[in-house]
Amino acid sequence: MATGNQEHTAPQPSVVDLERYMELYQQADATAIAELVAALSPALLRFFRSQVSSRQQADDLLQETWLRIHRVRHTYRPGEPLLPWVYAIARRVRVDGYRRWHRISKHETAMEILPERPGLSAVRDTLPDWNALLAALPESQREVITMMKVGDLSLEEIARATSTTVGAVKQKAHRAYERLRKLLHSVDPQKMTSETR
Amino acid sequence: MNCIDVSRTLAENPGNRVLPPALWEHTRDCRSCQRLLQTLDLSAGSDDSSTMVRHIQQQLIRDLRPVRPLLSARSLLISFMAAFVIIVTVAVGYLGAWGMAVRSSAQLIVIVGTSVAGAGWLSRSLAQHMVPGGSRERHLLLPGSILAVLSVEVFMLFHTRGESHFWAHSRTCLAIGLGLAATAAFPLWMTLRRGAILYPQAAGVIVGLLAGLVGTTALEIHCPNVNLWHVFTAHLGAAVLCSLVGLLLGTLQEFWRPLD
Repeated sequence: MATGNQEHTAPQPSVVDLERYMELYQQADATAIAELVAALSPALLRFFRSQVSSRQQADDLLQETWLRIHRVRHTYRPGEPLLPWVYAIARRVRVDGYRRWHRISKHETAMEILPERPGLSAVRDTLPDWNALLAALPESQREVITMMKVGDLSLEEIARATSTTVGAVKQKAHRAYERLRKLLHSVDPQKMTSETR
Repeated sequence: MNCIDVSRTLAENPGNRVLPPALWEHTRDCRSCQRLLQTLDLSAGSDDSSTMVRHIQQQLIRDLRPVRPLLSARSLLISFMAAFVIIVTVAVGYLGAWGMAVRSSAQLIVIVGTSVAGAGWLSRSLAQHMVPGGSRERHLLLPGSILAVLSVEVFMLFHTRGESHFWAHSRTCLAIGLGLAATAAFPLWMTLRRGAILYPQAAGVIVGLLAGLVGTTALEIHCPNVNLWHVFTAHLGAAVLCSLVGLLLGTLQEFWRPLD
C-alpha cells in the first residue's frame, strides 16, 4: 500500500496479510475486520476523494463500500487477489452514488485546464494540488491513475477491478500521464515567468 | 529517449519507480518529466480518517457472524449446466422426442450442440459475474454472438416450407419454450442471488439467454416442425425473448434496485 507522507510509522500490512485478514473476517474474527478496515480505508478514501467533488460524499461512499463489502464478504474466494475484489465493489458504489446524487441535481464539472494559475507575486517552484490535477482528467483515466498510485494495484489487478484488459489499462494510464504533463506545463511558474519577461 | 518513453514506462510498471538508466538520463535534464515524477509522489498523501475508520469498525463488528464462502467457479458452472441438462431431459421425456425422427443429423447436432456449448459459455460467464472483479464482460458480446451463430445455423440448415396455421403452431411452441425457460430461470436465479452482481444488465441478459436456451434445446428435440420460419420465430424466438426479459429486469435492478 502507498504510504507516502503518513506521519504514523505503524507498518502497513502486506497484501498477503490483507488476504489472510479477509479469510478470518469471513470466520467472524473481530480483530481481522478491524485491521482490514484500518489498512484499506485510507486508500479507499483517497480513491473516492479523487472521484467526487466533496469530502462528505467521499466519506459517505467509504461507509457504503464497507457496508457492501460486509454484505457480500462471502463472495471473496480465499487465495484470490483481494484488492481487485475490493476496488470492483468500490467502483460500483461510486457509480451508484453518482447516479443517486445526479438524480437530486448534483453535477460534476469537467475541467480541461486547472482553475487557477499562480499570481506573479507567488511564482515559486511548487506543484499543484494532486486532487486538483486528477479532477482535470477524464473519469476513466482518473480511476486508473488513482488505483495505481493510491491503491497501489498492479495492472492485472486494475484490469480485474474495472472489468477490462491489461492493454486498455496501460493505454489509459499512458494517456493520463501525458495529460498530467500538459496540465503541469500550463501552470509551470518557470514557464509563466519567462512568458512575462 | 524522450518524455513519451517515460510516460510509457510509468504506465507499464505502476509499482516500480526504478526507471531504466537511459530514462533517468533524460529525466535529469527534463523539467517536464521531473515535475511529473514529483507530482506522482504527491499521490500518497495522508488523510485523517481515524474517526470514520473507528466508526466503521464498530458498525461491522456489531453485525459480525461467520459466513460460508461462495462455491468455486467450477461448482457454480456445474450447477448451472446441471439445471440446463436436467430440465431439458425432463421436458423431452414428458413431451416426446418427435423432432429427432424428422431432423437430419446435421440439424440436430449443430443446433443442439451450439445451444449446449452456448449454455456452457454462459454458465461460465455467470459464475464469473457472481464475484466482484471476476468478470471481464460488461458488454453483451457473448450473448449476442451466441444468438447470431444460432441464427446463421438455422438459416443454413433449414428451409422454408408451406405451413397452414403458422401462427398457431408458433404460439404453441413459443409458450412451451417460454414455460421451460421460466422453470429454468428459478434455480438459476436462486443460485445467482448468492453472488454479488455488479453489472445487472449484462448478468440479466446472460441468465435470460441461458434460461431461453433450455426452451430452444428442448423444442429442437421435441418439435417435428422443420419449417425455417417456425424454428426461427418460435424455437430461437424463445431464447431471444428471454434475453430481452433478462435485459429489462437487469436494467430495473441497475437503475432502481427494486430487488434489493
